[in-house]
Amino acid sequence: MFTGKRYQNVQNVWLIGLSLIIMAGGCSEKAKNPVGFGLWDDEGHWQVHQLVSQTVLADSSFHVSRGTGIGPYLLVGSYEGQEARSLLSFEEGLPDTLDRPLTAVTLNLIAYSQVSDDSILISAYPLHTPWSDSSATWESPWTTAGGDYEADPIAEGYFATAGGLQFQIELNTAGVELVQGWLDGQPNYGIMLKSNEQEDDHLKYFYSEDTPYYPYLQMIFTSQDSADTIMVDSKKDTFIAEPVPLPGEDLLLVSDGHVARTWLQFDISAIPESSFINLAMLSLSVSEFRDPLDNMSIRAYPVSDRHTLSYETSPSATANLFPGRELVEFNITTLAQDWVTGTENLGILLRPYLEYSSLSQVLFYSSSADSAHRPSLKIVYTIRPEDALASCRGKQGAR
Amino acid sequence: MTIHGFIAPGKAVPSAAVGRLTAVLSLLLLFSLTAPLWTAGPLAGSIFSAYGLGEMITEGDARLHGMGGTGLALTGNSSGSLINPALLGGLKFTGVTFTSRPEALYVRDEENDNVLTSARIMNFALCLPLGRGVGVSLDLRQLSDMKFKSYQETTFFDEPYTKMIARTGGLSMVSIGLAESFGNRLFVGLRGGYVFGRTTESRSGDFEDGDFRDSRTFSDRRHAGTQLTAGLAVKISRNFSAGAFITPAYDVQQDETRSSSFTKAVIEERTLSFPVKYGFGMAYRSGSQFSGQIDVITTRWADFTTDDQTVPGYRDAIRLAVGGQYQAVQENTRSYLRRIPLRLGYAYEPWYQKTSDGASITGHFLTLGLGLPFSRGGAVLDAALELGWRGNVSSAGAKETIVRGYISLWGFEPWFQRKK
Repeated sequence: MFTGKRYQNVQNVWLIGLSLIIMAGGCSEKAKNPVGFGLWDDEGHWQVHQLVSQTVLADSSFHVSRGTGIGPYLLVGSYEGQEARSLLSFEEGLPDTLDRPLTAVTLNLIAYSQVSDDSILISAYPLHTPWSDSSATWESPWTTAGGDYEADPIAEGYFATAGGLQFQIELNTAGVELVQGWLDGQPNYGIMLKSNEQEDDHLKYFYSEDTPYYPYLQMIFTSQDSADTIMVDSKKDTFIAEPVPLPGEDLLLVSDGHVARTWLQFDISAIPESSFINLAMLSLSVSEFRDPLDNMSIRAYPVSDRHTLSYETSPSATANLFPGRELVEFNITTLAQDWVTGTENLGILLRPYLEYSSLSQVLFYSSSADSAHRPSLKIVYTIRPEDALASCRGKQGAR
Repeated sequence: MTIHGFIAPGKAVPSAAVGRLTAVLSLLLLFSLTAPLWTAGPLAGSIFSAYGLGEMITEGDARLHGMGGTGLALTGNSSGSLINPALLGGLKFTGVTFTSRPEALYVRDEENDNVLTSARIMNFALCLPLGRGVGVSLDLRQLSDMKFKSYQETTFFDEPYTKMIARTGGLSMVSIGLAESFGNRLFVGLRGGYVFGRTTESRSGDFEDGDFRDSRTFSDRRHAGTQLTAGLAVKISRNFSAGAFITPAYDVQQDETRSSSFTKAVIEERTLSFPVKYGFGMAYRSGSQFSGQIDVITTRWADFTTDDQTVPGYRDAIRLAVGGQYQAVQENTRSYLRRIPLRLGYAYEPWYQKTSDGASITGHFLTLGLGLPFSRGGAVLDAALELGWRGNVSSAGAKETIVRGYISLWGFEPWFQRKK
């Protein structure tokens, strides 16, 4: 049976095929192998240590006095006793020549969100003092904190999102005369929107001129036989928020609206140079948190100048806060690695992700608090193998 | 046409028992050679390639490995020339071959066991007889192999953590051999080769939690050097022959690029001084059916240095191997099975580096082999099965039981032969 030529040829093909299959066998990656790890006498490569530092070199909070003009929202109302008012200016875009009298003016805004569905009475007042959206605050530039405005409103209206997101109020006769005065060249300091219902947490968010849903005035010029309507967009607007006092030394504040930031600096000098940082987690215990939208995002930035507390443009970490959260953690592994490898450790700065956009604030326990609540920085790091081996040899030599 | 040596003209000795034995051995061999296909282990070689330069490959084709890796004195055939360049002088036909080595290893240490599989092409060779007893060869061969991967799971500060090691790569050599026979009894040869290859070594520490960054170290080593081997073989009598070779110490330049999570990339150059290696073998042939060989090969690994610094733990390795072949009849019979040569061998093979605890690692290998002629004199598929045991769990930290196959495909053509 093994002598036929045909069989011989078939057998040859079979043998060659088998050879190729066998050579290809085992050429694909398969499962991991646990055997023989102990043959490798090199524990120096896995010397993992942990440092939990509560040694704070500096921790403090400070206010940033700057206008809120760069924010996307205009806030009107109050939240947790803190009031916000909005300022709007319509200097640009007013018609130059008028051949018909101004007969009606309406103010139009688009709402973003609200704290509650309750309606709120919003009033508009003429402003007396020139202001800038990049510098106006609750205290500045006014003679009276909270803004210099006429006692009598030029428009009033209730607003609730249940009726739609557009808020439109018609200016009264005094309001129309005010705008007519602007058209006639009289001083134009804009208007303020405020709510007098401060006992409830009624806070409304309207889109600012920095968004596609900017506020505008609708002006109607009427003659005997026709009427013209002109829209004038707001080119300058902002909101001002009642100040939030800085807390005592056992608390740290990060707040939006009336902006407060916190600076923290830990001592991590115990970590050997050239260590590899596996994880650096900054933990802060929350004492109090409030946000009209129940969601606050905080970013941690590397401080670049300890005197001015200026900081790098790229954040090291972001953490989100929401009601009920007692501990906030920031993963600053990359930043800690930079500190270990030579970048000077000037600490980190905590600030709201979007400053000037809400009335949120969080109070963290500071280093003056008890050990269970004070800030801590946990760093898990791996010692460079060469250093670990040298350390082992040193210990062996000492025996 | 004679393909291999020791198949001298003679009267056929038909035997049904030999045929049955050959058939059973064939099936056993082919079944074993497919081990990497039906075992489900990870891709890895010897776990002892965690040490030193990796596993040193015992050179030769499947024919030699079927006889324990012996062949230093196998005059008159192509296979022996792979380990002793002097044997090129006895070639009569142009030969081309390549050898594959699939293997499956059952490995265990004090805590775990596993099955590892791998397959590699060991060599490719072209042997040319130029007439008047002169032969040349061109070959590409693997000298060493690293294929060690292992991991260990642990925890650090309650975080699951995995330590991983991987060593891969190896050294290869492309070489040219030249040999001449004097009076059909004395053979002298020389082989010069360019040694090259890349090895990598990586270690990592991986936390399961994605918030953690994992540490890494990685070494990429590239090698270049030259190696020279001189060989000698003598037909002492009609039945006895002897062979020997020596590979003097040689240097290999190693360029290492080391990168890690801890420091910037570092480039280092060093010189690896490989030690002298020499071997001696004897072969005995009884008629046309039986042959037997014994080889002893010594490598003075204790002299291995890196930048002239002795490496701790290296020890001289003396490989001892014995083997033989039986072929019932010569190729002119119509019985295919009885034309198949059967081989048997044993090798004692110590590892050249001690464990980190100073223990020696030794290996014992039993080999079986056969050759399957493709056609009457044109080509042959040699196959060998090696059963090995290496290491010891208690003393060496681990033990591996090895099932290893060798497959060589030889093709022969009468190039450069003068017509009579």
